[in-house]
Amino acid sequence: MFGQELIDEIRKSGLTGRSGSGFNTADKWHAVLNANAEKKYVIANGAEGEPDTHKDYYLLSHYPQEIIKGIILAMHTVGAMEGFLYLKASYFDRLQSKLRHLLRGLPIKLVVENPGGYRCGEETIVIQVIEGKRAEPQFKPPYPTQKGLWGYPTLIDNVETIYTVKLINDGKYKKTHYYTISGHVEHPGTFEAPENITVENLLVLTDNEPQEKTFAQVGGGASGNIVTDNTYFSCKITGTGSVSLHLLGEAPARLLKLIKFYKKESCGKCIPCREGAYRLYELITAPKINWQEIEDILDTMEKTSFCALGRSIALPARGLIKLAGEVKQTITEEEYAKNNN
Amino acid sequence: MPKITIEINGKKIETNEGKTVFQIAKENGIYIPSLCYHPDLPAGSSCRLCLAQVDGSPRPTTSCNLTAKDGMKIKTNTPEIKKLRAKNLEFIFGEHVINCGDCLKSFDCTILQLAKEFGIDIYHYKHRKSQPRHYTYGHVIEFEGNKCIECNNCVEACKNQSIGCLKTADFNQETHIIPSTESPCISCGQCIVHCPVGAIHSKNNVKEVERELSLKRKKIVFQFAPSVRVSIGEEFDLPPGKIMTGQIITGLKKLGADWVVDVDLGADLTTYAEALELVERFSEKKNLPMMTTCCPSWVLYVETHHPEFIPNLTSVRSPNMIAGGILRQIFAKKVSIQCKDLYTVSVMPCTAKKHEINRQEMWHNGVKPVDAVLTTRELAYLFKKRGINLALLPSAKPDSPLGVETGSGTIYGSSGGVMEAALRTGYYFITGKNLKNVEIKDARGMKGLKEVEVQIGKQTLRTAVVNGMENIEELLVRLKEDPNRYHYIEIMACPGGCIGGGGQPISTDENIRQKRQNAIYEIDKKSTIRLAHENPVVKNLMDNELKTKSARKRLLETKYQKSAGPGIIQKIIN
Ligand code: SF4
Ligand code: SF4
Ligand code: SF4
Ligand code: SF4
Ligand code: FES
Repeated sequence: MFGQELIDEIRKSGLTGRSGSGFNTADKWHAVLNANAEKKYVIANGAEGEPDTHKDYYLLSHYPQEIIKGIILAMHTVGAMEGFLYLKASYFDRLQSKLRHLLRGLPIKLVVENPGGYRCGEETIVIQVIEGKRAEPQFKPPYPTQKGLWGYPTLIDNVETIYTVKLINDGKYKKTHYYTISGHVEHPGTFEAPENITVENLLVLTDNEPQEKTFAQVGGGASGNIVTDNTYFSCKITGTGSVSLHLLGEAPARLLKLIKFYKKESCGKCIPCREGAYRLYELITAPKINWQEIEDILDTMEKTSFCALGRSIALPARGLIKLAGEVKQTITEEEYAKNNN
Repeated sequence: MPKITIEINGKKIETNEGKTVFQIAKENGIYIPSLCYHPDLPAGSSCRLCLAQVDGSPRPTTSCNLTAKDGMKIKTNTPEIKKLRAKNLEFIFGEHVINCGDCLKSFDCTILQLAKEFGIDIYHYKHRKSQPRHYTYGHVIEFEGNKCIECNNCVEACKNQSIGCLKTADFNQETHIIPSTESPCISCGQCIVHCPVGAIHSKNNVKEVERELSLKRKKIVFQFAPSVRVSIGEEFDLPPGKIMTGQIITGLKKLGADWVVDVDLGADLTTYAEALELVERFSEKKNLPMMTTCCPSWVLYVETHHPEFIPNLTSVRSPNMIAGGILRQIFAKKVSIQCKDLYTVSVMPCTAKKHEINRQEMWHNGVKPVDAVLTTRELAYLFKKRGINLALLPSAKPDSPLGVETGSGTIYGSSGGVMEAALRTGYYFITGKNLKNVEIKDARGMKGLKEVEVQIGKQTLRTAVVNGMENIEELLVRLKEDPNRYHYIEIMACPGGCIGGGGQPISTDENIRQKRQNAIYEIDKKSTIRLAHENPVVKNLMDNELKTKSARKRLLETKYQKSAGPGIIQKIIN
């Protein structure tokens, strides 16, 4: 199956992007198929930049052939002559010899992200990097489906999305999704489970129910939302499908880690993210914390950053600040100072 | 073009499709604060000040990259937007050191004005770059890392110039702009005129000129270039293209100049000598196409990027260097002073001229023809510093015997002008007659690459006119296809020629350049002298002081050599 027929099948399945964007996969494929151009490209994105998320790595190491066949299927479907498998640096190091072997003779190139890091998975940056340019996001529109790699229509999909399309094509798709569980749990790892499962059910299913008071970051170790354990039962797992559990007392440390992460990952292109993340770090490590100032900065980053990275810090940061507030007596200045390295 | 209707702050506006909200607001007199947007460059949208709230959108968007759609309802001034802008502005000041001392923008600084508008504390955050880097690169360009807000405009402007010597790099989690030696800088100053915060500038010579003015140990003569007269008014809130020739002379006299002369004389001498050379090379088919050298950035480009064209360059000096030499070697004698007792200052639209005066092959026994170059901006700064408002000054005439304003000289300020002047005179040299219509319209205008053919007797002279280095690539392609395509080529590195020069007032864009250009041709039209060979001072010099071959060689000619460029000096400050 390929071409319009496959796209119809994808549409029926209701598949959305497994990178966390939630974009309708059939729409995307359709856009590239319909684009009129002399060349088209397909990119399978295995940058997996969100911390606490390893499902793409799991798939790449267990089902590389299926993924490669999925890329070829995508190329046939949209009419691309060349494909790319784009990998996070650490995945590239571990998997390249195996993948190169499998890719021998195929019109698919293996590429590694550069310089690496969270933002290198953003689709416009993936394109910049493959073109050998500086890793900075580009303004959309035009979308990659219209003008992508070297200006040609480009289908860029997460590795799991491509793998899932292969399953749909083979009639093996069972509405499951890959989840990564990490943090304060008995059995961390990557698990296959039904789509739309709740945090509680996943924890039960994987024998990971917490014995103490915890909170979870769901859907990405950086941008994922913070949920408390009394809402686990109703919380569906979104985003990149990650769940990481932490003891309540870890909230301040997680907050510091989060801010450090954004400070490091900001590409430096726009003022609110570049400066905001830097000032947040300054404020959170100061002897006396000015929470109002922190909230002002989060608000500015959320509302005015150029790309999704800068905009995404506010949600988890607010969640962590709230939790940190609940255990306020336990966050001492020394603790911040201790973490400040 | 299809029409759309949008609403900004409750005002209904009908306009053409395809524009950004920022553009539409501007056209309709609606003010949106902005910093990084520049109409010459693709919108980088990094400063995040030009925010607008579109009805139905979850958060504000930047208007400089927001294409308007029919029916859009936009607000540009909600309390939320004001608060967000203020925060981003505070962030910006965290990267920009307030060190206004000799900053040329200090009389009219965009970010300080914004700070007042938003009532922010500019010291809210302490300056944050751990190791700001200062660079001197090219011959005259200086970059102050602790003022740079990383908007990338300079990088884009330099890319536009087909040089690409600036790039963005990361140092311990900080973004920095750095120059590179791979593609040597040609000192054109286009990076400067596109920087919103004055973090890049050319070597500042205001102090040394002020010093000479106050010491009074030498006689001081100022000469000013064609295009300065149509742009300097902008620094005093006059519209672009306002002709200020007479006011500049009065102002310079007020500063203490002993004499003020017009570089038009130098331009006419360049034309005269270059037309002679063209006629000779054209008839002997020697090293064609001949290429102009009035633009020192172009000369640097040839010497550092394409030395294979060195034989094509004309041997004639630029107006600046000729006029300087005439002042010091001939004029000084006429007014009975030692050539060393004359201090010569050129006021130029150009940053590369600061380098040109240091080219030793044009010195006379170790004496520079020109002591210092001030850009249009620097002169305006000096006037303001001395409380001189050019807009209010009466007009005066340049000092004879050297200075008359001529049409043929003034058009040097615009792309195509050198060519047009040379063709007017070259035609006369070949046919013994003047062109019936001296206006060569095909050479004029903003187009990046113009082709002009002139019928001279039985022969056709094929020429090209290029402005803006971005158009060089196309020229090179055409020359590669057919090396004999042209006989004569004029190249000016800046967009529109010197009217868009790197030393001109900062608020430059297509529209402003067009107005400056119109004014240049306005002056030509009204001039009584429009042909270099009819300038009485030129005739007189050519018949007397410049009669011999050796005198001409000494004062009118120069040479060029292959070079790797000047390298980069870096200073890290803590
Ligand atoms: S929000 Fe701005 S600085 Fe941050 S990653 Fe995106 S473009 Fe770069
Ligand atoms: S002076 Fe010209 S060549 Fe040099 S960096 Fe600036 S724009 Fe580029
Ligand atoms: S030097 Fe000026 S133009 Fe260049 S990035 Fe810095 S602020 Fe922007
Ligand atoms: S075009 Fe004019 S202003 Fe620009 S570099 Fe050349 S001479 Fe200078
Ligand atoms: S002017 Fe639009 S973001 Fe700077």
